Amino acid sequence: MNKNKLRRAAAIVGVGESDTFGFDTEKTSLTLHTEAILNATKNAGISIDDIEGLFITGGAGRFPTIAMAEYLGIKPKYVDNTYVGGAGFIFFVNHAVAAINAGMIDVAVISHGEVGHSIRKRGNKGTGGGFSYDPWDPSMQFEQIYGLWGAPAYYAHAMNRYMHEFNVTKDAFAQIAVVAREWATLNPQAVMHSKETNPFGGPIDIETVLNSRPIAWPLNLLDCCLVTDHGGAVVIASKDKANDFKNTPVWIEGSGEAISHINMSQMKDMTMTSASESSKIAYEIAGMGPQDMEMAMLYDSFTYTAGVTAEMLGLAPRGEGTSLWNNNNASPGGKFPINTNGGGLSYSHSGMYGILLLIEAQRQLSGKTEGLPGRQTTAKSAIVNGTGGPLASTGTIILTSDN
Amino acid sequence: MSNPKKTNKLYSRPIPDPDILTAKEFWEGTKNNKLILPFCNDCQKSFFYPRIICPFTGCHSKDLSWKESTGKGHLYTFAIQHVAIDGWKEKIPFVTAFIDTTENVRMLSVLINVDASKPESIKIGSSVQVKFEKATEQIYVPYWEIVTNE
Repeated sequence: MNKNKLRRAAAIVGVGESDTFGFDTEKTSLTLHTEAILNATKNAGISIDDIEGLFITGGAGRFPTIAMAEYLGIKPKYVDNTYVGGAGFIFFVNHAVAAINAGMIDVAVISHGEVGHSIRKRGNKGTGGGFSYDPWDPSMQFEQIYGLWGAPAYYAHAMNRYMHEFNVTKDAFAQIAVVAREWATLNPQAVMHSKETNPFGGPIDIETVLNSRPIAWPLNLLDCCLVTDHGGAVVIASKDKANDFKNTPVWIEGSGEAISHINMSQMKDMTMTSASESSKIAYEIAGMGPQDMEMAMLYDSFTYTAGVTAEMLGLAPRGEGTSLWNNNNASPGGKFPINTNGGGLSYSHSGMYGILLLIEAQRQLSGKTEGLPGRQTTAKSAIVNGTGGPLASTGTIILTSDN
Repeated sequence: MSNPKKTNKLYSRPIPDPDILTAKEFWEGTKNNKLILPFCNDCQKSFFYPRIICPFTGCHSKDLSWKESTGKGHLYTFAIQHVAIDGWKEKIPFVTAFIDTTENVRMLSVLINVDASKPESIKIGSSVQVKFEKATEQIYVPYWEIVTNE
């Protein structure tokens, strides 16, 4: 297999978010999807009728891709609704590159809309219909009987094991949340930007994190991502078409995906994720390595997720992932910016966050964040990694801009 | 068969609903105070959870049987749950754990007789022993307890 032909086979050429997002949007998932798709296609300078491939993982019922196409009144010729949790959007980039490289489509849209916050009030459970609740299923029969509540209940076990093996403290992880908030205070769109945007917004320190209420020790509330309503979409085009759009193309240099388990009892080493495998593929296709990356967007469902991912991507030695956030290194103005939108921890996170990693990476590399003070970086390359389920799936992409 | 959401006065937490095709022996075992694990007759290894195929790379045999576990193991990791579902809400805070049995099988469970308010008192690597709690006449649920705490 000639992997080199996948290098720069496609580019991100447009991004958009829902008109509003955060808490209590009073919208449905389909509305959020639609606003995001309209804004992303407008940003790229195309009509929704130009969408040839549609990639949707959730927030639109049990048949999300068909439901979304029907709602918009479009007929894409290539559809995909891979369900691997919040990493799905990075998997979709990989799949879109494959479909484009195969000559099946030239223009793809990846979209997400999810009322993660509002659905709790409206009294429904689940975020996309991907889960099965047959009581005979192994996860129900052998794990859910012990009362575990959602993602934090599971991730906490991995973080504790990591802290034990590498002698890393809760403070080290708390620092990741502190830096995410630093970026958020410079981003007027961030849910936790300031006291004006949220009573609990504005700057925090390590003590704030450690003193927030415990959710699943060692995870405190501020170690956990937000749960909001949000929509986001990106437009991807083939290399032949990539320069026909309004934006500077952000090239997909390489992409990779990997899975490991769904029941955490099947996760052999909880201090590692499959991002070592997904990033290896992405680096190989790109012909680049960790040393070539100038910024990173790392899925921070929890502080632990971001910290361990940094190691899996080769950005930090084993046991030292959290050190990337020290000494202002990952902070605004630092040498290696990480999660420049404020992250899932302080920007927004609807339940499946991966789409927002892509949007922020595109904005940074295409130079479109000017006018939002303090958060533009000079990076011309970025590594983006999504983690889905209970550390179950990972997708990695490497992006550059010639800008 | 009971629905896991259903509970009773004796046991207010979710009650397992056994998959009679693949897990009958496991739940028969817990009822008799035994931890009986799926075993692959080809690669000679125990595994968990029960299923109709051996999950090990290079094997994937369907020639499976059951083998009694020592019921002993060690604590791989744990977490202290301050939020929970169903009847577990009454037990907050409680300690969930991943146990590695002596057969090298990992299981999720709840660690009993530990101080959930003092995570530093619970040591990863501690030796643990399985215990079974009666939920109904038919269903006994596995729990684990630390036997030596260095």
